Amino acid sequence: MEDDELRGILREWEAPEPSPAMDAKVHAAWRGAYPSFWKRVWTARVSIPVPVLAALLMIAALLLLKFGMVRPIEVAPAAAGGYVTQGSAAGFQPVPNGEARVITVQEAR
Amino acid sequence: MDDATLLSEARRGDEVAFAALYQRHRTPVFRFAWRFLGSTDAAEDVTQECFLALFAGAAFDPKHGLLRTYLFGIARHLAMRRMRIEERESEEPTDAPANYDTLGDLIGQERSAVVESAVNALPPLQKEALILFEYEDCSLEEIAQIAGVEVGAVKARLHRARETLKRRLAPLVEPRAQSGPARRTL
Repeated sequence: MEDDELRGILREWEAPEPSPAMDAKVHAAWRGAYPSFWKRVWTARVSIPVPVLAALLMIAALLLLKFGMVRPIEVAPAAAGGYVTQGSAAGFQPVPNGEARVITVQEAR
Repeated sequence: MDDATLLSEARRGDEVAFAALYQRHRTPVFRFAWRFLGSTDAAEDVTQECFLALFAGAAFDPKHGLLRTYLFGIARHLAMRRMRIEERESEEPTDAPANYDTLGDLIGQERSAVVESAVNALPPLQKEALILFEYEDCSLEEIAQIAGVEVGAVKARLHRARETLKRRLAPLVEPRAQSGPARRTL
């Protein structure tokens, strides 16, 4: 048998085409290995040593205190020359005819 | 767009680049695995593992050869590993002779099935060389790179495979004019 004859016979053995199921499987596996950008962002993990984390938290707390996120309670300045008391009678209505009467709590309700 | 560019974009997470590269190379890889392992399921597994290994950062360097050659190298490694596992799990001898020793056996079989049996009965190293040379049109240098051997070793394997197949497939030769594909010699 010559080489060309052998080659002709060998070519009678044909391979099937890859199935769509395999394509879907490979695509799914690839997506699992390479998720989208946002999925990677949401599932990202950062490993940090505890002392570094503690130092960062302390720095953050100091910065918050210094730059006014927690403001000290402001005290009103004292008026010059002592205390001033102000009052107002707006909306006051006197008892009609000056008839005052003592009532109990039950009556008031 | 060339393979190296597509690969680098796919490794950065570009699904379009991945799909383009996969579509370009999946059929030869699957065909090789299917012929080598003789099972569609196994060939699909090898193809999937092959592409995932590639995108996971296998060290492909375009200066040292084609991506196709590199992929065949991965597929070959995976197929060999799978075959060794199957051999360990199987109690049957791996070098069992093909079951078509008489002309009577040949009559009832499809010619393609006979060819398949004859190729599958070859030793693995001869079989891979023959499949890559005859079915995937790889050059001797490519096969040597894939198998990690010298070109001379590939030539010897191919020669032995051809001689064995000529003997085994002789009953299939009909006394008629053959119009085969273009001649490829070693």
